[in-house]
Amino acid sequence: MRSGKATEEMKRIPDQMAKPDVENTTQSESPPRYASGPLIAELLTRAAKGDQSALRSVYDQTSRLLFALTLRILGSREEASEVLQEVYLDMWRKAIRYDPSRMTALSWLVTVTRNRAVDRLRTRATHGEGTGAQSGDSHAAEAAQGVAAVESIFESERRRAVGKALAELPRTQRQVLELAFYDGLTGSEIAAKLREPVDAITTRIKVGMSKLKVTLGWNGD
Amino acid sequence: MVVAHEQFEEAVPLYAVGALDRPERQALDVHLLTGCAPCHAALRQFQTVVGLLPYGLPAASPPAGLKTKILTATQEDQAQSEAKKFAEILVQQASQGARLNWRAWIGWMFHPAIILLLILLLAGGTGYAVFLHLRVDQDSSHRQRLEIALQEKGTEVAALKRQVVEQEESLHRLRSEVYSHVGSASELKDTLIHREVELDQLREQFAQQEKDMAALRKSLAQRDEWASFFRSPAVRVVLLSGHERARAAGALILLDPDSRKALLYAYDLPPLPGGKIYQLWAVADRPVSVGMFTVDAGRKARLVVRALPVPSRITLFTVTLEPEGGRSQPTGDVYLSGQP
Repeated sequence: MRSGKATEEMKRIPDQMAKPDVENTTQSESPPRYASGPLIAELLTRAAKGDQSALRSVYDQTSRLLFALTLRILGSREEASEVLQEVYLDMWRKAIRYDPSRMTALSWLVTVTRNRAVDRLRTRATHGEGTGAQSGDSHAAEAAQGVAAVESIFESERRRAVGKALAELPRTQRQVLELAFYDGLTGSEIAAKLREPVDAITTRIKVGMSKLKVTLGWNGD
Repeated sequence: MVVAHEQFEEAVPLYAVGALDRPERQALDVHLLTGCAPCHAALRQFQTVVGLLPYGLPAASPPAGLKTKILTATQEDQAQSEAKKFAEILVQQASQGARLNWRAWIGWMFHPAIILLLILLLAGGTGYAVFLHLRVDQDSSHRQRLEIALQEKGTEVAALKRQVVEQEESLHRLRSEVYSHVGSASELKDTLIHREVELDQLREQFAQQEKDMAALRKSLAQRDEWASFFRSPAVRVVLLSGHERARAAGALILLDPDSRKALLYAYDLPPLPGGKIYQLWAVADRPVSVGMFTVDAGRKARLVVRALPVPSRITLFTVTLEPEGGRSQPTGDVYLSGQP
């Protein structure tokens, strides 16, 4: 059952489907300043080979970020923890495997975790349960708890840069990106929700993503 | 018609953030399977952006026990795995041990004390060996059947895989055609909308032209009317002179008894005081009001009269100053008067 789920998940990770012809790539491949470094990638590879200390290090470096993500999507600490546990255990049991040639390790972890959480969200919606999304105040309470933990300098720098990049986006662009990424809605679903034309929504997402790409360090393509 | 590469590349940011509907996502999946390097490069960049998005969220620590729970589960996995390996080693060693013991038994077989026992066992052993041989044959044949079945299944799976690939290609072609038709429909829709807008504009222009035409017709009719009026040999001129209140003033009336039309032109009349107006009277048996008028900045005035009452019997035209709205009989001072 897990392998089926994992297979479905792998299908949703585009970079894992076909390897690009890197030599023919014409666009800039330099990672942005705030992309994850090689350390997490190496730890993921070691963890997949059964190195428990590597898994522990991956957990220490990424669990707060991924938990914030699952909590934002699911709005429940219990469910957020369950999804996070599934991701780390599937990584350990090789039900999902990271391929460093196709995506940064952080992108892979975020994508896998986000897809799992959105799947859970959609299942819950199908079963007619409430969304349980947290309000801004609840997030603030979470933040107060979470900030007690020590943040690394790089993590703080990333938070500052990403927060600034998001704040510089017009509210309408930020809104559609959040609805797509955190609420798992497609362009047409967002259009229906906001009662606006689909073209307007997709254009807003494209422009917002392109702005974030430039702000976060990619200037030339 | 093939969907342009640019359309796929434009969809990459939507794909990365998870905003594509299933058909579009599958179409881009197929495109990526072709190994399109620019799309892969763009996707990698946008996925990195997506990977950074959670840094925009408020920090949140997972429950304290989660790490221990995960690590305990991994340790249990590892323990099970090691136990499995250990069991395999034991089985291997037991097998090796059995072979060693068999060699020892060969040594013991030459001992006189057990020769008799060996002879007794030989008969039973031979029977058992035959039984085992038959069993091995059966197993072997069963295994061959399984291998054949496996090969057949493998062939079926390969055939299914080919079918899947063909279906995907077919789907891709269909999708391309649909995109093409959707594109054409979209263009037609745009053209239609454009034409409708043009039609609306033409309608408005037509309505305006009709208004202009009506105004021109009216103006032309008036000109014809007055041209006819001025050409009429029956038209007479009546001069009106100023009275005490307006000695410098004067007026003339062009009068056509046949059509009963008249045109008054007055000059040098004093400006009107507030709440007052000039009123023209035609006097036959008694004064009859034929119109009211004001003066312009040049102290001139014009009045068109379309239906004079019994022109042939009019003996006097007079202009008086009356309250605004006029009166049924003259009440104010006389400013002008003249006889036909």
